[in-house]
Amino acid sequence: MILLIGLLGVGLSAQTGFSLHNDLNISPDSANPGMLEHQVISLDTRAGKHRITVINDLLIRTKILANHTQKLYNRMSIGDRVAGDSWAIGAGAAATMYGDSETLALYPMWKPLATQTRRYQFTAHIKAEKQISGYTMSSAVQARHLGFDASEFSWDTFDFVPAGAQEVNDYRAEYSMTADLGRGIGVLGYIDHQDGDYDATRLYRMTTTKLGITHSATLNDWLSVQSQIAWQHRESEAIHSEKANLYTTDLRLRLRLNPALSGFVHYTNRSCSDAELSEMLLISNYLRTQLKYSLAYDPNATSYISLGAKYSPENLANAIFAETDLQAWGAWYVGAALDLRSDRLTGYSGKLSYHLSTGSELNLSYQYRDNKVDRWHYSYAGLGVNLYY
Amino acid sequence: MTRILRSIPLAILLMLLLIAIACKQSTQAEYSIDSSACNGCGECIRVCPNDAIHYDLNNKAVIDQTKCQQCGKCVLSCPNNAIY
Repeated sequence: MILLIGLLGVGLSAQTGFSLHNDLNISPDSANPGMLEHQVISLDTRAGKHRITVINDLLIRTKILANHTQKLYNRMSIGDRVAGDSWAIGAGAAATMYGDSETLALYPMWKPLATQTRRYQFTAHIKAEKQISGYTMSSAVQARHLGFDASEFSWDTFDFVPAGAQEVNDYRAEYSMTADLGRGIGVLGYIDHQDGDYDATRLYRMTTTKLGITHSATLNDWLSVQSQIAWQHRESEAIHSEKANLYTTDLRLRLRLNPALSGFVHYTNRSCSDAELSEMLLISNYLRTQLKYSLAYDPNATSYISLGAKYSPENLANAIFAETDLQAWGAWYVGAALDLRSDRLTGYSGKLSYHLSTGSELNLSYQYRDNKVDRWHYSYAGLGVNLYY
Repeated sequence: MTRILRSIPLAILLMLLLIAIACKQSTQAEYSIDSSACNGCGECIRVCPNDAIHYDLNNKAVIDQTKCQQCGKCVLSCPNNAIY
């Protein structure tokens, strides 16, 4: 905000977008009462070559539910990106505050009997990009400072005992380069290193090297194809030896069958091998498809029906999902969503909204989610507002 | 030349099928986030019990594989079905 006022103050011509998303939900389930407030405010300002973004994400629950690890979560981030014709420099920072946190593992692999409750986290990053005749180079550094209350299991008392407030720092640095070889073919190279200053630094230190080839082609008016094959080598004690090398292959078909109907089919295969390349092993397949149909009767062009599915049997991540928002009368819209994830989760929601302008609305909603794996469910009735300027 | 270029996706698809059919399953699961489906809502970050998910520089969630314990809570928490 200070940066924004400063930029306006020095007389740069600024164009500012503002959005507010606020949902206040109450559980109508008398056996499981609770309140959930979620608010996201964002400010996006363009002034000269600067693009400044400020986002505040606040989530308050009256009780810990649905695998959340805290009742209160507030993350405020600010970023500034300065871009020229062939270059860009960006920097940003974020502060996250946690309230009433659950006890989490501190070093889950190395010391399972050490735990933490998070209090705050600060992150900062800087990134630079440069394009030179078909080559794009990018480098970035991201640092984090985490504050928490630690506790350790005592074999004397047979319970966790407080070990005081502690802080850890970690960082990651990355450098990437892509080269456009023409005719839709490109190559990419990437190196990333992460490190920290905490007790288990040695375990969580990792250097990743990635090389890949990409291809994109528009085959005709309604079909385009993007594909990528990449090899990644991960040097870390925390990565199981059989996954030291990761091979990722992506294929994405984009469809635009007519102006109202569009969609895509995406397939990713991830396989691995150890450092000696002794055997190729499958990690997972991932197939995802989505179709969206826009209904022509709505003059605001915001009525749609969307259907999708994903299939990833190795990670038990199969799902069928659908969503719709339809103009019912004038500015009144009726929406519904369904999310079925095999026998693991069932979710559905409904919404009645009044559109104030494009993207801005007031709504009444109901949502239900039943997680059969972790055995929780909730239902919320809510009052929401979305505003865009 | 154009025909060769157009055949590349087909070659990749065949390779994928070979990999998928020929490979033995790894004993170690590994989750990943489809960045094109992630809207940066942060729900997975808020449920991860191992502090293993963070925002990347594009405000998308990424999994730190050195910390992930493959509990799968993030998969079911994602409202966009972006984790697999």
